[in-house]
Amino acid sequence: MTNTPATSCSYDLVITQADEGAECSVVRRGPANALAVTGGRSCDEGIRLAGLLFPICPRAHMAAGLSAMEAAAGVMLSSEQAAAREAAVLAEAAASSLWRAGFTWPQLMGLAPDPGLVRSGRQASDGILAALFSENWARPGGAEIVFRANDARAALNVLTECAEQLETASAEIVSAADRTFDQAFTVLPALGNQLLFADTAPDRISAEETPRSQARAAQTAGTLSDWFAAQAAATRALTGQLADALDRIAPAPAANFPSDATGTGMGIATTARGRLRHIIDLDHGRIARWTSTAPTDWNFALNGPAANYAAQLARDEFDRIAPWLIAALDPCSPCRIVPAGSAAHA
Amino acid sequence: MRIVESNGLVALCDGAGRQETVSLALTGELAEGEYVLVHLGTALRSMSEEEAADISNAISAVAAAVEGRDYEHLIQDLVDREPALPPGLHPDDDLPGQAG
Repeated sequence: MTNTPATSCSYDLVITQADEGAECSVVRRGPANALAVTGGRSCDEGIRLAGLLFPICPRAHMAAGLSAMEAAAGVMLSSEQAAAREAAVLAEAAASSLWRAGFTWPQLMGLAPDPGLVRSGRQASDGILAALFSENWARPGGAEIVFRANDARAALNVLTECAEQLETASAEIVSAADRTFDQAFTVLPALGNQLLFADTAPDRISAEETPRSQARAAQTAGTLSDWFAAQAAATRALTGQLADALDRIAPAPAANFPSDATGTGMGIATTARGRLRHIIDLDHGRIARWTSTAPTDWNFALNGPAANYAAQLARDEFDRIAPWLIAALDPCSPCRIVPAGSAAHA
Repeated sequence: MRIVESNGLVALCDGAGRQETVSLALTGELAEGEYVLVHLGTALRSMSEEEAADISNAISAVAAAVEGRDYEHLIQDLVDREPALPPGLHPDDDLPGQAG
């Protein structure tokens, strides 16, 4: 039994096998829009709720929501404020990446994970946030920056060391892994040689009415070794971006955020799984509508990459490969493969 | 979720009307009565009873909204309350060092 604390979504990939190949559709269970409960509330209340509804990566959701509110209100953050917020989000993403590559993936492979690495990364991420702001960082218009640079960089060093350890650990994991895992991963190049990440939709209508992924070639993974190397490199890259953001931080006042703003805005934030997008309608300072699209929403959408790729798997390899395909797309909600017509599906 | 039985790095947790066996590999051993944030069978971190209640109420509010029930009472105390950094993250606290 599993538990997803945020929005309690789950996905079933429903497979229909036929002589000419498989068809795969997606059944999504859970609320269509958890953020609907923010309707009618103030921006401060809405942000607070967003953090509670998405406790796995609260900073990313809150930051995307804040950016959307600011865009809706026509408020521009100073570069220093934007850098401080960016650093808070990147630190969370780096810690989450360590969790995924240092803990989740070894577990999937039946190997010993490294919880100490994950704990260290998370502590460092928390330390960075504490070194940036005096109190509540998640305020529309920005928050009071009290940049304790030495503390932030010390925490960054810990995160960087964790990422380096991940590279070493990844090499050890690969050397210990059953070679059949490599066989599983060789299917990915055959399916396009791309990992898919959610990206910004070109316009609002297409994003809401036709969920689809704007796939971009982010990494190439021909073997398990390549995969882990890419995961470790991605984590290192996040720490590099974090270092750059820290270099741009300086004390700066928050922008004035009007209490009666009306408008529509979009905000983007980085997570370990890809980009996260929020869109908010404000009506005289109150939230009229708030929607979000997370990487898992894109990748496991109806006719999305998971469904399309699963349908391309050869019938005799499906049972072996499909679970790894799902793992490769890294859903943040429970996902299972269900044969069409089975009791589980019915 | 609240830990009702703890046995090393495995715990039986209670929350949202059900019980679940949870790995404590990421948090280390925790005592009965403590609260943890659980994701896909693993406790990600421990948290205060107040934070656990806030998250539980927010998620319950979503469930109530989906079912067309009133949910305002579950999240009404957010009004005029400012979010705060969790324990241990206040600027006056020591910066966490590298563990393990």
